[in-house]
Amino acid sequence: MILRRRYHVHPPGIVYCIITTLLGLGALNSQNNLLFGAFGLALGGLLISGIVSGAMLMGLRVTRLGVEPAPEGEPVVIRYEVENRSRIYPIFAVRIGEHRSHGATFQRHIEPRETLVMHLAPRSRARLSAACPSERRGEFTLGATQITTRFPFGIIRKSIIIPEHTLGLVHPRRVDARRLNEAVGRALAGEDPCSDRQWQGAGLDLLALREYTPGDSPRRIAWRVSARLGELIVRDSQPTKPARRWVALDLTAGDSAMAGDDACENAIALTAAVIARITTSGAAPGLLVPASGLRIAPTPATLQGVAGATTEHAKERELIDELARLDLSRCRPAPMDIGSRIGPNASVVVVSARTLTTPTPPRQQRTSPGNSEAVTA
Amino acid sequence: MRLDAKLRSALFWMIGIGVQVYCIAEANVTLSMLAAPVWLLAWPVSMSVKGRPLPKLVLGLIALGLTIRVLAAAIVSPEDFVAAVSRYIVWLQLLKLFDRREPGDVAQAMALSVFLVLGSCLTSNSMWLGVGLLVYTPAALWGITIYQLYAEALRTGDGEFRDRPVPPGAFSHLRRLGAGAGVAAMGVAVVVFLLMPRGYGEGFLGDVGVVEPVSVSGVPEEVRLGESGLISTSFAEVLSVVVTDEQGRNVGELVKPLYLKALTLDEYANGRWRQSRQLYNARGRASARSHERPLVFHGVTDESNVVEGYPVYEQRIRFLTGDRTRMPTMNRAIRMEPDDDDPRSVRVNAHDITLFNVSGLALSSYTVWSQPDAPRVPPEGLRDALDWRYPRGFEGSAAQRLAQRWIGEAGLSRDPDLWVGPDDHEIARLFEARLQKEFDYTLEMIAPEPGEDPIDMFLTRTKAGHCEYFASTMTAMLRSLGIDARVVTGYAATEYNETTGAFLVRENQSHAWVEARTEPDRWRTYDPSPSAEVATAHQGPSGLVAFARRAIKAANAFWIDHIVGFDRNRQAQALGSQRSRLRAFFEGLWPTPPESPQGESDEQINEFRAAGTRTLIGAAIQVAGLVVGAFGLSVALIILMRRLDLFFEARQRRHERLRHDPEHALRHRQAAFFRRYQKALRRAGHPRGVSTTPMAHALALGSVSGDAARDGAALTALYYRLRFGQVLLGEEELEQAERLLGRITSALRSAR
Repeated sequence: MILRRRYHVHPPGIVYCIITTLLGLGALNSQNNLLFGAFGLALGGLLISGIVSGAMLMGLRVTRLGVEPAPEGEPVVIRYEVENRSRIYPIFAVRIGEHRSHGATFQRHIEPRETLVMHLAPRSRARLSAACPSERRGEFTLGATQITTRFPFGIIRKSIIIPEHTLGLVHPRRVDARRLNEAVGRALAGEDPCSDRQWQGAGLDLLALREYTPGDSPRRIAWRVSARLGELIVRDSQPTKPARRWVALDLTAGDSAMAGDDACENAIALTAAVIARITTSGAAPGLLVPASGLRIAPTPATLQGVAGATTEHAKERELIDELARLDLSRCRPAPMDIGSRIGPNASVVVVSARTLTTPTPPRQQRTSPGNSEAVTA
Repeated sequence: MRLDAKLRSALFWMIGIGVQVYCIAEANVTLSMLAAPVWLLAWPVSMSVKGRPLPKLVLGLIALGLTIRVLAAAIVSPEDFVAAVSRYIVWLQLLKLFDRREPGDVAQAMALSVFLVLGSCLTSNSMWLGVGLLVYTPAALWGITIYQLYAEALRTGDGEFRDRPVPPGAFSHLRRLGAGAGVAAMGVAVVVFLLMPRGYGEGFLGDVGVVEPVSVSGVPEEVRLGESGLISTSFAEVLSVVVTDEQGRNVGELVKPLYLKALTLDEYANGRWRQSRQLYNARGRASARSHERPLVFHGVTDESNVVEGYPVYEQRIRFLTGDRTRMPTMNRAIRMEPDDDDPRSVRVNAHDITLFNVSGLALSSYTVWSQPDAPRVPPEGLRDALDWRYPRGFEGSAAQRLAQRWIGEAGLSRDPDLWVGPDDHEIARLFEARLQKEFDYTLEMIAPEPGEDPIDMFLTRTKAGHCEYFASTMTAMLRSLGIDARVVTGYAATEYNETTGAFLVRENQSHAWVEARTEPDRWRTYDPSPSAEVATAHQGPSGLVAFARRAIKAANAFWIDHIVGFDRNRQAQALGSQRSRLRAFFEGLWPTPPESPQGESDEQINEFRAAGTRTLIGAAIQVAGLVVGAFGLSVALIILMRRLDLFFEARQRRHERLRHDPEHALRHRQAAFFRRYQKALRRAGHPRGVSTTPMAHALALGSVSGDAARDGAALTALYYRLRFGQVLLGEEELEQAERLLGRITSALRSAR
């Protein structure tokens, strides 16, 4: 890969050049040898500044290790590995950031931030990260890494650009699942009469104790523990069989029309929260988005306990990643034909964008052979 | 160390040195003395993180006061406005040191400092300013570098890098990088300094950047006996003169003292000597031809003045300070070249062969060739320039009476109507010798009585005076006999510096002597002043201080010759010699074959080829040697730098540990007894080898005495506990160690 140094004009450099020129003119006018010396020193500073920083930059290699997704509004962390290949020059005050070229599409999604290599000895490497505030849900591409420095004298700003494509994601913004209303919480927790948890019955083995959240069944409150701790504690039991929950996202506003972007974004954020809540409750989430044709079936957890939780969180991450990638411009109105898309006897939480300008409760339906029953919470 | 603390310390040094550089340039000792303590008071604020700056209100009030002061100065004396603003900048910078502000303020303070120093270059070109610049430049580069590091840390992210500690080893690398960058920048500066064209574009912006030389004294246009004149006790340097002969050998020692003629004074009235505006004819009467003095050559080389058979001395003369109108030279200049000025601006007076600059531009140096003892041959067409004589004078004066008595005593005679008599030289020598012998030299100036002629006073009453009296008296005596004579003013240089091969002419070496026409076309130089006393009066300072001063002066001469006085001629010389060396080198690499090899014999051609091969091999060896040498030097430098780096790193680690680990610091303090023990052994001639353990070393003291070895072992055991057991010693153990050390020391002393 051939890297090319770029030199940028900036105000301190312009001022410096003007002063240097004046020094030269003054020296010629007066034939004052001290001014000739000062002029030479000014030129030397300019030259050496270019050489030192150029050599530093050319000896530096930056590899993007990856992008850690984050919910909208929270910082997306870009990780780098920097290596100083030079045997002679240490690296000082080099800034690393993202350049808007080589097909970069991050501008709409994150606000790029730079990170700093304060010092890197010759023949050494280090890992850095830059936390960039995310602005909008979606998938983006980082096209090239820009390495910039003004070291040592701040006269010239130099940069090199290292092309390297990396995909990043900004997840739907985080919605506190505890704010979902009580009925939905109860439904998600399997206390609803239609819940398959109810059909299957709760397991006998204790999974965990946790704080009470609205919607939890009073039957599951551990009264003695609650009395001891002074707050309501709920007993979670090990399900005898992992539950399956579908989350259906309805992005239509009514008859054959898509809802507004804000409503859709709110619905997506809510869907992500519901998926997280389902995962937390130990069920396996599935996702159905008729508008985009997306259908991911709930994968039953094969392992229980901690290992099972890991698997389920991987599933949650997969679904949220898909939600992050959801491109509203490509979505088309489609009927919520849940029965035919999911199949019988499935528990479905429908999140609709029809009336959502702010996150509002979803409805819960239960499909049965031949028809589907909607339970609105 | 945190980066912001480092930045503050860099700013502290940069501003302090910058202010002192300005004070040097302005020669403002008062400001320097006032600024230094203020600068030192800022130390706690600059160097310590906890240092408290002054309250903003106080700073604001002081800044307001300074502003009012500079405005008042602008109103009261507008001509000093620039100086007032410069002083304002000085105080403003010092004030900034007591403030804790943002990096932008630091950048402003640094920029002010740089501008102040650049402004200093516009007001002075003294050597001390150069020394100041040499100190200031690395400090400024370091400050700017640290600032850049800090500013980048601040610009990046949300400023989270600002308070992060600097990674270990960073400053060590930064020092090396900064040193390398600084040296390289200075190298570029030297190249630019050498290559920038000189002599072009001078004055196109008016007086911008022109440094006017400070006028000290110079040669006065007239001498007032008894009142004022040449006498000065100032050690200020006026000229630097290098004298060489026709072979280019320095003959400074041979011509010592060196008489440099600047002006001749030939008209005497009322105790004053001045230069006559009158032209005389061959009978000594005022000529009606012209009131202007004839000018012979206009600064151009005039070889027709050279007289065969007489030595020619080349003088490279450089003005250091003082008046630059008069151009002192050895007597009878035959040729001159100004080094950095338009030759036509220099005139030579045919009457007395004195040189002067009429251009009004600052002349810095010139070269003159002289034949001091040769008769004078004026150029073609100006022969009548010699055909004149001074009117006879001083008739009836004490000078005439004395002159007649002395030549009578010597058995000589002089016909006053003759233009040039046969004994004139002997008469002049006689007067010179007797004045030197019979009159005293003194710098105590005595004013003559009202109506009394100063020369009469010198001859009859005081019989003592300085060079002006001696020269005036001899001139009067010769004139009274009809011999053409005149007082010459200039310098008698005695301070020859063997290091530089140059005479350093000071203001107190200004002198007066006599020129007399002893042959129709020949003027000789006579100095009637007692030589020993003159040398004493004109000698430079002596002693250890004088030695240091001479060394400084030698450096100053180098500075003036090679830096300040680096003009077009010197540039041509420097670059020309390098060009010729390069040409010779490449000609050696590729020798030119004979034009017609066909005409040469095979033997000659083979010889030529062999010579070419030898040259080529020689050149290759030279190049290889250079490469190997440069490589070796680089490796040595790198190793040295690495060693230094390791040394400083280890020292820093030690200091850090001592600072941050109190227990380690305590152990280090307790181990002082062992360090004193090692030192005592070293002094007694028992140094510990690198591979010898302390215990083995202690046991080896058995050669001194068994008790010493036992005590040494016990002491070392205590040290081992401290050093390797990581255990602090108690009071009793420390006292025991002191007792053991005392016994070992006395044993070593008794063994010695």
